[in-house]
Amino acid sequence: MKNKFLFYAAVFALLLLSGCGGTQVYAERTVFALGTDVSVRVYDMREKEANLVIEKALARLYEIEATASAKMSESELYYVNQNAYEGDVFISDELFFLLKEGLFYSELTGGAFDIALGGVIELWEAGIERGQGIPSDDEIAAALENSGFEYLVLNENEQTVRFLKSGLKINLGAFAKGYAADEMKRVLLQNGTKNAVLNLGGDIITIGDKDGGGWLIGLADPLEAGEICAKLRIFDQAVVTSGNYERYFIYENKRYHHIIDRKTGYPSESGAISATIITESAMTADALSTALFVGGGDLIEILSDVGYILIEEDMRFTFSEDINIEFDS
Amino acid sequence: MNSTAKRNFILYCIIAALFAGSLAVWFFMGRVSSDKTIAEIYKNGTLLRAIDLSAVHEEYVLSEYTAGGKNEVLVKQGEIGVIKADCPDQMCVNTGFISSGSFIPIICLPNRLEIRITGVDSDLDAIAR
Amino acid sequence: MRGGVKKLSLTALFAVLALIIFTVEAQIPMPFAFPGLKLGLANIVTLFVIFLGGMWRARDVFMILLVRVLLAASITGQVFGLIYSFTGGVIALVVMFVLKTAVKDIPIPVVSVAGAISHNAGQLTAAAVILQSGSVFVYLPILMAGGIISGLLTGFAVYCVFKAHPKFIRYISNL
Repeated sequence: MKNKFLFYAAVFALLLLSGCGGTQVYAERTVFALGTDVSVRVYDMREKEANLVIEKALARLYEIEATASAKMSESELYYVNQNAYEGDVFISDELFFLLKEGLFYSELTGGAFDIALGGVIELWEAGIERGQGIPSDDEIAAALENSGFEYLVLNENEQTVRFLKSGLKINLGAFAKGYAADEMKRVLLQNGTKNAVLNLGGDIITIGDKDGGGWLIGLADPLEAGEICAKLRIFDQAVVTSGNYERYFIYENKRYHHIIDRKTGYPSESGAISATIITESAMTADALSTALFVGGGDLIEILSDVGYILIEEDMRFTFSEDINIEFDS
Repeated sequence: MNSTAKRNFILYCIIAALFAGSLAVWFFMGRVSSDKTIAEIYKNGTLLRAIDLSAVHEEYVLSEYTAGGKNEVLVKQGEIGVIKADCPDQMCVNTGFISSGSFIPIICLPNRLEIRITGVDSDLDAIAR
Repeated sequence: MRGGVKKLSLTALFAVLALIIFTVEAQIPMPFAFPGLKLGLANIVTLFVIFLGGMWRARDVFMILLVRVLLAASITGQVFGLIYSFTGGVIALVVMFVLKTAVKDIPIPVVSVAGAISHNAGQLTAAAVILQSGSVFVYLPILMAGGIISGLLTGFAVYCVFKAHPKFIRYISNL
């Protein structure tokens, strides 16, 4: 009978259509951790389920924060920084892994990325956060004396860490964010997530390919606040950018950003204003984007396995061939 | 023709006139840019309020009360920011004012308050910075 | 509900039809700023039922609209867009009913155009209230023009259905 047919046709069509546009539906949460805003957006999952999965990812995030936060005085890293000169400090699997990876990238990049520059960074942060002007050359020299990844010793057998210099301080900086991003992705995947975007203060990591076309990620324009200078299309990868425009202060008409070059003890002046890495791991991307920013064009030769975009002072772009990048008019 | 047909004809003429008229007005006004500066205020993750910042003529203060505490939000033309809050870390106040194009949100975690600007290219899934 | 199970299932069917049209319409990207702005094509169902007359009262049409809006909200999870379209839908419903009752033998496309225009005006008003800004009304002219076109199209479509299947129409208008 006509009614029945119409009815079933309607139901069938409805079922079909609920499949379409699936990736427009998502659940999202934003929290504050590791010193920045962290948001998790999960697609293609019923809201209740998605929220549970996001909770698990956030729980992992807070665990990492407790281990690796440089600022939280209750964190494991903070304790290590206070005590590792006195003697070997036994550390957790997690922190050991982080330091080991951190050392690996510090060596790989010849110090352009260096996890042991905490002492120098603190001097400059006083300027950024407390408006105390720039540190003197003496202060910088003294801090440099006591900094550097080569004075950081890890003992694999005992799972301990020791500093060879008394003023040494580990500062993982964005590296911890990258690690957290990778871990949160792992938790999401374990819990059945097929499509998701995580944004940790501008460090992006994705799961899946959204609807087949990949994720469209905007690249912040280093010169025009609030603008995008390029768009990237990525599939299941991470994108991390280091730039001179996010945290800085201005003293006597000069801008001092927050990425320190260990060769000078000053904010790096390689000519780079933005360095972006695209690869599977956000942790790798963080380390290498910092290194690329500090090292500039010279560092490109070690970047053979990752996608990169280097933007220099005159908005000159240098990027690897394998990335999917679009520019507007 | 009879009166019903005449009446219908008149109705259709009115419709045609309205159509031509609105098109004329639209093109006379020029294409309106769809750039909007809309600030969205979320409490506990739910959208509480959306404010068109470009339409604000006189600045005003919103007192947002949440389970955690209180945030005073100053709404100005084109910008919005938290000027006072009773949270311990004061991150929300330190973030300062955000305006059109800012993709950094103002977050007060203890008070579960979040303010963000929409109207950024909605094509994008995220912005790397 | 008077009319029993058959009316109930037809009501459900209409609601689902409206939902399908709504969902399909949602895939069409609208270039303007606020979420939930739609062409109002789902009004075709409201229009159809209004003109069915017979056992179909204003209350039934309202029910169809309500069910559709609730279903759409639970499927898409987007409550905001639904507030706009519900407001538009209710206003359109009232306007269309009034016109149909007050003006004898009014052509279906005319009612449809009136419905579409009021649907859009309703949406704009809801947006203006929520966004606390009158600036959304700059879109009124283009929405009027668009509403007239979609009203004419849907009105003509419904007119054709009524013309082509008079027996079926009689059957479902008075079970």
